[in-house]
Amino acid sequence: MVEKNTLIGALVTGIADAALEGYYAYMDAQGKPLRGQFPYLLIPGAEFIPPLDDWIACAGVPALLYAMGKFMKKPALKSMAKGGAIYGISTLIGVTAMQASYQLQGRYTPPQARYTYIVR
Amino acid sequence: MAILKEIKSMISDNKQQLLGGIASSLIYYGNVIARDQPWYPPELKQQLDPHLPSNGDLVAAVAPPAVLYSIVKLGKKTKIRGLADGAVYFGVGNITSRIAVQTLYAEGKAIALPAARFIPSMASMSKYVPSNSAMRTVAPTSGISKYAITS
Repeated sequence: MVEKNTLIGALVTGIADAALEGYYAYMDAQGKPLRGQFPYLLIPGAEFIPPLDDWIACAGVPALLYAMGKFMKKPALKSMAKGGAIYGISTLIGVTAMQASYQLQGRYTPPQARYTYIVR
Repeated sequence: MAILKEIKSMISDNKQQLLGGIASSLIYYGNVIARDQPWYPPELKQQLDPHLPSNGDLVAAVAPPAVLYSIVKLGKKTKIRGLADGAVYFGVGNITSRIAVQTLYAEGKAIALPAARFIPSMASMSKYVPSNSAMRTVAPTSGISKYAITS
């Protein structure tokens, strides 16, 4: 059975991810792309690795929830961290696979491979 | 070191859930890659609403947890319950994130487009024109009446 706190943790991480990517998408739609600006940074030479905003949302949020649960001694927060980690690790692996595929096919230059799931 | 040990035990305890999430993620992003291929069905590229992701993305996000849960419920396969749970955790976060991002993109685009100041409407026949006149030709004019009946 799905645990409530774990589900909330996955949802919170998803919302943090959406906030960062949503701001990028909003500015992109207005013709002011934030490509190359903080936190939308890629590692030069290893562009298949997800950019910094994905690491902040997908690894930072679960780590923060875990640290809060550990120091405040709240098992509910640790359970939320578990949900966030399942979402975060899965997303990071998926994005890496997607960007590596684009890079191997040479269909896009890596910065343009960002957010290809947005219907433009 | 204690934290690393705890994280390691957490991963081994929830290995099945993590695998379920990763499998769902690979299906979702596999669909995103496939979208640019010529054989990809055009129906899946369409959107029900500009604020929603494409139909293919919605299917790819919802299908893995739905299929896994159906197998668990109908086939009484309790061994894959962990996989189904992991797929749900990823699916809920992913679908929330994708809808939010597409909504913000659609809103940003709507603001960026210049507002239509004047939309010409279809000209309709005046109520003063006799109803038995099936065909009339009109010519544009100036002043109060927009058109003058020429025949």
